[in-house]
Amino acid sequence: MIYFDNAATTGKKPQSVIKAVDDALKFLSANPGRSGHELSAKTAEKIFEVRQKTADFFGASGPENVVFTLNCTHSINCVLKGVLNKGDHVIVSSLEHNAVMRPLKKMKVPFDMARVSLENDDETVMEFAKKIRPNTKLILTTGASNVLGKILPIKRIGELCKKRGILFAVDAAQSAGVIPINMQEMGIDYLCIASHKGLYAPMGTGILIAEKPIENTLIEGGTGTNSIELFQPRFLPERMESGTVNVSGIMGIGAGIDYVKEIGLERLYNHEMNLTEMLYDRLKNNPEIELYTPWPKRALYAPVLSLNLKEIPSEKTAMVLSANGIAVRGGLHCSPMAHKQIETLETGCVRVSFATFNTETEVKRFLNVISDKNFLKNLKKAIE
Amino acid sequence: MRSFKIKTETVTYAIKGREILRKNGFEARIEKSGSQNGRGCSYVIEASGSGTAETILRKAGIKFSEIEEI
Repeated sequence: MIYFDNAATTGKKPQSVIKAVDDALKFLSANPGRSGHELSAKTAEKIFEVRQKTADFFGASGPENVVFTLNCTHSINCVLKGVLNKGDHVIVSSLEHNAVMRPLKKMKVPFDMARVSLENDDETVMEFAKKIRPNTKLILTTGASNVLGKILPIKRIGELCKKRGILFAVDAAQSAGVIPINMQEMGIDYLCIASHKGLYAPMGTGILIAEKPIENTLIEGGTGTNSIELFQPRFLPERMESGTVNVSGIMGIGAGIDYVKEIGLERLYNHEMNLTEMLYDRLKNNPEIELYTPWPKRALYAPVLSLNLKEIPSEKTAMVLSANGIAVRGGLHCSPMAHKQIETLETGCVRVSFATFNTETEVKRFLNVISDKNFLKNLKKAIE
Repeated sequence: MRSFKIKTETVTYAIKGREILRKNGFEARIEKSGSQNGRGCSYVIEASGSGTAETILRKAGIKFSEIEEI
């Protein structure tokens, strides 16, 4: 199968990640930070090493600020529910995933949406600035849209937040491991990471890096020390990590970071953007195809491209592509706000997203299939 | 040569504290200690070296609950 659904999770994990997970299951099967025996201590040291590696990779101030979560959605919930109190106002972008929108809805937090321009970052920054109120406590924005690939001007939004005394959180589900992120340089207070995407770690892993405190905990429970006390530890990361952590998954995160560093972010990004540009270039003049973004300029776009075959519901296109051995995602991608902006709430889009192991040959195959008359015939049959 | 026992609430600060002390020339190791003062177990960094462990740890932002010179 040709796997072009890497925005959902990277479809192939490197051998080094698989080995790290396997080794952890075999040799680190002790609960870290709980018992005083040698294996528990060794496992705790290995976890610490991955925290340090993660902090270094993302320019965080220390390993103690790295919290391992279940996934990026969990990380985002920790921020929203941990930081906001009654009366606080939040600003989000117009392209947010339901990982942001659903908690906000449930919490009944007053929020505003800043419209993201797909072509002009100055406009985007001004939109965020316009929405600031006296009680704005937090700006939370996606680092890159999971539907449109648009990379937001994170550093400039971070500067705005610093100037106005507002906390700044980034949903880096599509940008971590894809483009450079340095929390201290970009003024990011909370970074939410889907380690199973751009860091090639197993699913069921996520990261929250918190440079500022988190007042409210999401889950309370055992953390391995001071068991008589019925209060959560005061300090991160254990404050936000009750219960047994996913040791093998975390070892996979460490190996994934090593993998990305070894290839190099720039080399990875250039490879994936070459494929994105190749696809865009061959589709842009096809009268049967609708595209929703301008040319995906480097540094302004991640390797995610949404399209439609005109008048065909996206899920049907995705279904027939799957029957032809090509994995993409149709529908709304858990991001109705983005689809609202590009007016595809009715049809959704077919989303193509690349990773390191995808090739030009695969893109050519996709292009051949999507332009084939039989393919269109089968599609029309599927919607009858 | 001075020796210290530094109690931390979490294993993460115990490991980080140990590393900071080692970088500053201390010999340091971690032990999980039994329940003290009725609070339950915790981590203790046992460190020896010249200089003041407390100053070094505070400067590095290491959170600890008790420090005892022994």
